[in-house]
Amino acid sequence: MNPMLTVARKETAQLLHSRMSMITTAFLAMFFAFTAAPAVTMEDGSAAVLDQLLFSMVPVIGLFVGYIFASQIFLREKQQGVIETLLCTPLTVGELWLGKVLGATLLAWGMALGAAVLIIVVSGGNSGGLVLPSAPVIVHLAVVMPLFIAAGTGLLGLVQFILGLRQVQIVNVAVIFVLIFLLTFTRQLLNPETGITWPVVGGSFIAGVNVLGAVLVMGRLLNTERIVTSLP
Amino acid sequence: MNIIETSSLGKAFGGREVLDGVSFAVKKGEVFGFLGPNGAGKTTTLRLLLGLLEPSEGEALVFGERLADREDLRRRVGVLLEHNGLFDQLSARENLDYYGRLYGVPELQRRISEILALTGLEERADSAVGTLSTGMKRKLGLGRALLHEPEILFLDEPSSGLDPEAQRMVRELINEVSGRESVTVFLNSHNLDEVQRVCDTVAILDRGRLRAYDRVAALQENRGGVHFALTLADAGDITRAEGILASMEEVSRYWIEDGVITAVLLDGAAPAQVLARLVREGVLVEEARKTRRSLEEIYLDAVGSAEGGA
Repeated sequence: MNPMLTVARKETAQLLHSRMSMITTAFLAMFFAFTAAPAVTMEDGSAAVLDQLLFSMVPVIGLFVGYIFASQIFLREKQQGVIETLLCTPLTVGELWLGKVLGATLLAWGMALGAAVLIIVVSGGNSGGLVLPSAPVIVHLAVVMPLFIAAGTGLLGLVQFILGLRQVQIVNVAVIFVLIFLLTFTRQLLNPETGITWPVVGGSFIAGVNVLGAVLVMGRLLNTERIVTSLP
Repeated sequence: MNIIETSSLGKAFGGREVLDGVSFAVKKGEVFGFLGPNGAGKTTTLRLLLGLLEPSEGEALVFGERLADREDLRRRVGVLLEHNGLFDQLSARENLDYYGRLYGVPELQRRISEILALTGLEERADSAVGTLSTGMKRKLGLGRALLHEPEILFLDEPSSGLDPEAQRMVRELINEVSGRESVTVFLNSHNLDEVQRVCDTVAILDRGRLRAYDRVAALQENRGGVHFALTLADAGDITRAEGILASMEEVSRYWIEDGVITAVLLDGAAPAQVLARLVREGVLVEEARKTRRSLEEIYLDAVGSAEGGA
């Protein structure tokens, strides 16, 4: 198996074993889902409202879940010193980083999709009939959302790897808000008030690819000595 | 053949020099003890050898290469650092499985079973590592480092924080591995007893500089002159013997412990000269024998002389 996939598989397994992470993220996803879902039933044109909600809200849930997972797999391993042992294996630091990003992204994406399903089910229950999202929104959740989650987890991982713990505490929250801002800015730029159409999702996809690309380029900042000298 | 080698190795962090001109070599199959007090630069040297840090000066080579540049060579090296490199939420078996895949271990499940048997953790194989005792975690960490059958094993304070029984088991494991599998062991430690029991060669580092470096037996024989222990026939003669030893130029120092006088002679002086003088002065010596210095004495001497010179 590719070493990056080995890392991703292990991260997913470890996160699933971590009861605290799973409970926290499941609670977060459910909280957002239950508080957002009633909006669908209170307005006319439930399908359009649901689309808007899924388009805007679910990626933010994914980003927050990714934020929690990043702390588990990057920061915690650094605090415990396990990272030093991993850097002595045949893995390159880039493979290690990307593997972790992949593992956390897949799980955060799954949780966000779970939240999306919950929103659909709860809103359907409230309105007396199941309202389904449009095809562009489904593609947005399936293809665009993981790009933003990967960019978020990747950037958080990078920051947590190369900065000292004190600096991480300051920068961590800033990173997630920058990403939410980027997500909102993209949304404003695409002006989806008239509905989530294919061009809107296409524009969102291009934005996601660019943000992720920028994060991957920033991955060149990763340096073994920087990681080791910033160990607590 | 030197399998590990440093030459004029130096490292500075932000202008602060923590390692200066450190040179030593470790031969294949040797158990090498790297000693020094806290803050001496042992961990920095280890990190330089492992390619985790870049040297400011000189070279740190393993298999004649810099490990930082060679993922293929890192496959041939096993590492147990201060932390065990284990994931608390995963079981012992899952931890070994993960590292085995990273190192591309063939017949992984068979090898995992062997390691679990070697470390005596078969019954806890499926327990989460977080539930294991400190000693069990350390043994599993050592097993993890041996999983891919490395040619060199780097160990950083392997018995630190362990009770005497667990320390003994770790020591036996090191002996077994180095003896049976001809693995070269680089042991970073300040546990002098452990180093004395398992190492062939030692280097003593203090404040970033190498203070002593030789085979253990050679250090015990050579460094600081001949040591010999005297047991007197009449314990009442001890004060008189002390006076005689104090007046002799050949004796650099002496001490008394449990009624036995240990005298250290200057280089070139012979124990017979001292014995003859004592007998001449009427002190009856029941037993006189040359002794080997303990590693603790060598260590304290090396670190102490560095303090004196600083």
